[in-house]
Amino acid sequence: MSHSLLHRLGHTAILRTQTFSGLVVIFLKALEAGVTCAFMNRAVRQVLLRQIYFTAVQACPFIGLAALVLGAISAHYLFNFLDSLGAHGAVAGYLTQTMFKELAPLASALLIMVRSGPAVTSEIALMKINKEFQTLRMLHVSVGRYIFFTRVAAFAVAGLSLALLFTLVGLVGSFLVLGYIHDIALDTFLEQVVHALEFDELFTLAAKPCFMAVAVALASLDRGMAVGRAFTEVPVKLIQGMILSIALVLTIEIGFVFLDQALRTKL
Amino acid sequence: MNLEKLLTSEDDLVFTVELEEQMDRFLDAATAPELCIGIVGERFPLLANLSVLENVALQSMYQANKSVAWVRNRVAPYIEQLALEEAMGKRRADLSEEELFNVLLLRCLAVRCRAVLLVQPEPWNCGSTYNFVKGIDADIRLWICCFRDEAAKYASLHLRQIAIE
Repeated sequence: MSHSLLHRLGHTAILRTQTFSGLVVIFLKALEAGVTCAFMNRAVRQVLLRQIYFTAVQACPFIGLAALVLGAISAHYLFNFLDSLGAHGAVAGYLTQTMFKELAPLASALLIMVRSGPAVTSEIALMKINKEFQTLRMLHVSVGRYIFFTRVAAFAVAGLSLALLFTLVGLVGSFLVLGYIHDIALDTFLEQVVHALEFDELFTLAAKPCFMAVAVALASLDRGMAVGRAFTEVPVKLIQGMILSIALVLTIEIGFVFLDQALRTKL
Repeated sequence: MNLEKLLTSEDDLVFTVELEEQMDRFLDAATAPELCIGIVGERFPLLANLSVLENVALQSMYQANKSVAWVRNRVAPYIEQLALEEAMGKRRADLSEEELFNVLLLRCLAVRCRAVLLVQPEPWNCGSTYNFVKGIDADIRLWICCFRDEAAKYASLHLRQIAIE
């Protein structure tokens, strides 16, 4: 009984470690390709641009619409809440912080996770099943540069740009509610927005959506590469990819909360 | 087996294997970059998310940083001879069996390979492929790799046989 339990514990531990090491290997290969300027290569650049188009550009209308609606709704509720506390003057500041720090990174990561993550997992899985990786090997095309780097870089670009777009459109949506329903002037609104942002925080604000998107890319690539030869494995790996992505995004979220807290304590 | 030495000889060859593992080992050896052998076979399919032209151009784009247009210019005479003008914009799934074979052959010719290795080809393809490859100005060997019991299918080409142990 105890032997069986020990065996199962060990097996689970090995599986988890393998997944983690798989993510690290993919990340290092993509990083190496990035450092060695793989994007200067025509074949790599072609795939990279396509991936950016599929992941970032095609997602713009949806993220724009979501940002407009969420920005307007959150502005309305936050104004009512702060008004009850007699602090409605700080509404734009709070909104900016919420948009930049939480809503935008999470919304962009969620959209990428739902829209592009499964696409990458299934694409890689089908490439494996169809022996297309053998073709790449025969043509002496590096999987790290041609497959991993292009996806990871495109996701990073998409994460950052979609988060920025979400914030900007979200703030426009907020102003529509605050300006037209609650009579807040544009210059007052903009002044509060600018005051809410601190230069020191910009790196953290840019890094969070980037890290989240990269984590989704790594999870999707890892699960795609884990497929053997059977088509029946693909849906299983898709679900595993989604769960792994969620776990990684939550871990990054918690990490940034601690980082934020540490920075505040230091200041 | 020294493939480099075989490449320098003038012979077109049929390599025969007994087992699947021998085939895998031989193909592994044949994919060495310094040999520059183009391989035509189902084991090395076209990439499904690229067009035929992009598949043909991929190696030149990656290795030599050439553009798709440059590669198309380079293989233009072969495209015409293999009747692939209409197929160049298509994807793998839209190709007929004959077109697919010709595209795989074109992929080899796009990088000026020293030998074209056909892996278990259909006998009806071999004669025309042999004539086509030998008709090209470049000095390219035509090699065939198959299982020992299939070798008789290619007897009409009168190629020297080499058994791989």
